[in-house]
Amino acid sequence: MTALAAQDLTVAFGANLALDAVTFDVPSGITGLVGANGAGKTTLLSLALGLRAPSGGSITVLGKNPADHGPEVRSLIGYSREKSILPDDMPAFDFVKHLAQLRGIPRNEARLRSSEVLWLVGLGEERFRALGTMSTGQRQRVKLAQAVASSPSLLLLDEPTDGLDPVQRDEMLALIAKVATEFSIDVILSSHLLEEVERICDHVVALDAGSLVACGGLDELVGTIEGIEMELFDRSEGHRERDAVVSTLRASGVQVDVDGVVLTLSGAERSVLADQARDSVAQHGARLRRISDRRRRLDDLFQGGPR
Amino acid sequence: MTTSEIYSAGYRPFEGERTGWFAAVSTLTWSAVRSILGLGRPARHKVFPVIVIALAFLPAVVFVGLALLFPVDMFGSEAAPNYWELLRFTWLPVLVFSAMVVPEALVRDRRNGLFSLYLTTSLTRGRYLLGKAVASVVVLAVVISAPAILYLVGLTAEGSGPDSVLNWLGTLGGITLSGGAIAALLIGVGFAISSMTDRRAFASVALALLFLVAPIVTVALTESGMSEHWRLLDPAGVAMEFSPRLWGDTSPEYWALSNFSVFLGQILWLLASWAFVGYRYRKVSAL
Repeated sequence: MTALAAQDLTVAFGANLALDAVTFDVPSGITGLVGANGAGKTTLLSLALGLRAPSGGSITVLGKNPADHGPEVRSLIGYSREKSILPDDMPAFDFVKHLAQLRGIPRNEARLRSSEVLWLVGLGEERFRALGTMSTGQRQRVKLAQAVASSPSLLLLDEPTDGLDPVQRDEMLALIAKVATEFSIDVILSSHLLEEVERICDHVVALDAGSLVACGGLDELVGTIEGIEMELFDRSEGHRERDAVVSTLRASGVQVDVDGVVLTLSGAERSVLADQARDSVAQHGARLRRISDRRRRLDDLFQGGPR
Repeated sequence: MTTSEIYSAGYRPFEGERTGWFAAVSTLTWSAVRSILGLGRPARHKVFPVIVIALAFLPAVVFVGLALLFPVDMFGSEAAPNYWELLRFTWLPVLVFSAMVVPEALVRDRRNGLFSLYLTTSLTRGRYLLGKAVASVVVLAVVISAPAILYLVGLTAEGSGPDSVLNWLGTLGGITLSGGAIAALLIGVGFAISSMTDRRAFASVALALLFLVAPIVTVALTESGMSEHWRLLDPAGVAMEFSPRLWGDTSPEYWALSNFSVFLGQILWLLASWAFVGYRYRKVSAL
């Protein structure tokens, strides 16, 4: 089932287009919504929640139009906002229970589930602590817990690792992956950190200044592509060694793109390219720092890199 | 043979029927009542509401005590006010409660991010305001009416209350209606001012100033020879005048104004303030 579908979706603020006729589908699984600040991510989330009506086009979430069925759609969505502003004097348990009730979970059930999800996110022992006494990492976990407690069909997580150190970020990403895979909850993870999207997402929707840059499975958008990449350790004046290696490779019919001491080779089988690279380096007494398959990364989607 | 027991079922999907928006509004209302009264929060949040409510009850307790402990005519009519006159004794705590505690119901949610989260549930802006309004009006109506109801019960016990069950119920209804109407107007004005700032202290000070300055200004205007209708610009005075008019009486300040003028003034204040709150909240960003 498609979790979210947008068709020519447009949002205009005066003359500015926050979303410019974007069309894409978000299938089940974990989908990364990536883009820089101002790309249109938060606008898209507000449309998905039915908090804003599109200027043009259409959007459906879980098969319903959120502009027409806002409360109904929202009761099936768990949302965790980017900002970490929370009611400081409220215990985590009360906060999670309160929002679960507002999302349609009966009182006693909400109480049970609040405890369960707080244990799930690793705050079982801390669940009666006031939110104001919690660290940034703990508050991010509470935000995830309140989103999950209502047993949503779709989770919208806006920058869930914001403010976390690397260890906490790894733990948070693992939690999100666990929620999605073990509990079959579709997740849309809005983030400007492409590396974390590459780590846990199955699909990617990339936005840039309101336009759709790319959309599809992560396997299609990133991964190994034709050619190899090599990096030289070149201390020679004016990159003489590098230029010699490049000349030799080009003379043997290899296409070479040069970016400093990084050479991108293409035009033949990987194994052939690797042999030629090795031979040319040895021939000119150059030193090789790294040789690897050529990979396409999410950054390349935004930087006009290899498609 | 060994036995085992499951201590935690872990996370599981909810497969029951979800409660609707009415339950969400009820949850919000109850939560707002607790917040206004400081329940479930650190002790410092309870101190102020408790003091103000105690002060609101004090005159009724004194008058009931006098009625029960001393002969009826011992202190004259000064010690046996009408139900609406009792309100004049409790008016200061009521206004202080409105100015200091009620802004908490709205401003806090915008400051701590709960308002945005609420809108991602089945609550809409209108349902949110409905829940908050019901909670605040009910709490303030209780603060206004409960001392008068205590007074009614005290007089009844002493033997000088209404002379029939029907009259007794009518009096109770009048007290309750007065409390509700006065609270609706004061909360409307309180919410209107609270919707303009994210700082609770600013809202409280602005409300206190309005309650303090408006009667001074309107009295000055009327005493300088201008129309008595200028008194209708004092929202707290207009609100309080509801009670004597309901009992077929007038307060000394508003004697020159007809019932029509007073009730029209109340309705206009009510409509204007709640319309302003609705307008302001349409503009508050959700995410």
